[in-house]
Amino acid sequence: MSMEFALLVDAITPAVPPPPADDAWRRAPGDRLLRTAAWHRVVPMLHRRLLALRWAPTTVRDAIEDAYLANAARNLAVMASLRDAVDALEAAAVPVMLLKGAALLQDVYPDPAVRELLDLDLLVPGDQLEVADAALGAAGFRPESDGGAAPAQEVRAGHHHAAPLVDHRTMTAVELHHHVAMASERRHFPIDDLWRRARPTADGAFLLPSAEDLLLHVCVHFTRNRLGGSHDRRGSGGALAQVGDVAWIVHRERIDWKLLVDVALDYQLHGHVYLALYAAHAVGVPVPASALEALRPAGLDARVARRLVALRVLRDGEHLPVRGLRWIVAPGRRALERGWDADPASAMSMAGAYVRRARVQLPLARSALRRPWTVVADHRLSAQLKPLEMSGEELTSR
Amino acid sequence: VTGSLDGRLRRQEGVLAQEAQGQTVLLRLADGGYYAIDEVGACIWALCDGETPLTEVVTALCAQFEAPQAVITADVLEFVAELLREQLLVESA
Repeated sequence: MSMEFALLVDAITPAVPPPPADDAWRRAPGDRLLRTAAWHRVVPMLHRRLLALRWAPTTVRDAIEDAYLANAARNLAVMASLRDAVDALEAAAVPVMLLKGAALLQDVYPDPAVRELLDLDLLVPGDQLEVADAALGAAGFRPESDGGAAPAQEVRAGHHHAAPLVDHRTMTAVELHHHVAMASERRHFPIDDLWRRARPTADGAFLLPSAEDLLLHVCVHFTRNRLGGSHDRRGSGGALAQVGDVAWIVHRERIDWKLLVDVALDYQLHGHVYLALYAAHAVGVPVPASALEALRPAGLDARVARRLVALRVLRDGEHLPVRGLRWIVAPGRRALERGWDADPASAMSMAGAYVRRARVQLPLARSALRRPWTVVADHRLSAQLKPLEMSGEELTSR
Repeated sequence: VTGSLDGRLRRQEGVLAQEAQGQTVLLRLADGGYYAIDEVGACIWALCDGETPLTEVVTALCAQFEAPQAVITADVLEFVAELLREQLLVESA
């Protein structure tokens, strides 16, 4: 593991380890450290680590402290929006549960400023999506674009959350979920289970998933992000922040590992959970070996999980999008419609979107072609992980 | 109030605060402006509750920090003047 990744892994560790005995870590190049931390969305966590080490080149230390303080301010604004959103939903008699970052900042992270929060994810019952949407609209939350939100029926069938609604006062996006898993992942996952096991926060202000469900959701999200790719994330972006979430949940919550294993197997999401916990275990998070063994899909080649850690976690920056060169050159029509604002009824619009996309992808393709073996390794891993992406069923060896 | 110790100040509505690794971050929701203040500033911020006169703020700080009262008084007045300018504090009615 490179020195900057060793420092970043220390940074996401709940119990800050003492400085290493030798001072090799002092030679970690500061600008590269900062770039890698930003890629993995752990700059605020790095601030905490550098405070303990009492070291970093001044310019880097200042940049990291600035980012930490900006994140603290940003999270204050997001939490204000959270309170407003939950108040509006409760006033409309819509049950609401916090998910992901919003949930983790309540009782898991003792210093909420270390965890970056991009948006708010709230779970509401699927049959109350319209009521919830109207309640947030009345409270000042508006769709991001003029096109408005998709009909609730469409959202329920196709996706696990509605289009974001934005609090324009704090520029915070709220995503209303009716499920925590995507359509391909939730065939065996009754969401009522999550509601049944939910618990209040320590101060009683909000409703949270149980510790096991929180961990399961974070794990499924981690693996989904490692499987998919987009022009701006490319499979490894934010990975260490998600491993950090796993580390902090394991550190702060009393996990019933047997329950976690049982529900993951019942929901046929054990492959997703296994890969996330394997990655966490690989960087030192104390995940019981028995739980890992129980979750490991039958016939899984252990090298796949190791490759995933090497290629989709301990890595950063410009590398091939995980879907491969073909994905760069020949994107599907839906990719152009959804990601690049193409109008499918207009050939000109589709062509324009293709060109805009190609301009962004070209440097990546060049970069990838300079390192052909990396391309091969990425492609091979993508093929090995594809069963998980396509069906959510058990991962099989290839 | 900047020259007076008799005044009472309170925290502006819409300003949020959070402790962050030894500093306190203040966020003005109206425009997203934020500030980081140190431990002494955080003490002053906490005491500006609309009820406590600045004289008592100075007294409390003198009990907590080892510095001459004149220095603490000048620092408090300068600090609250800046927070008033930035609309983080307002004079209490």
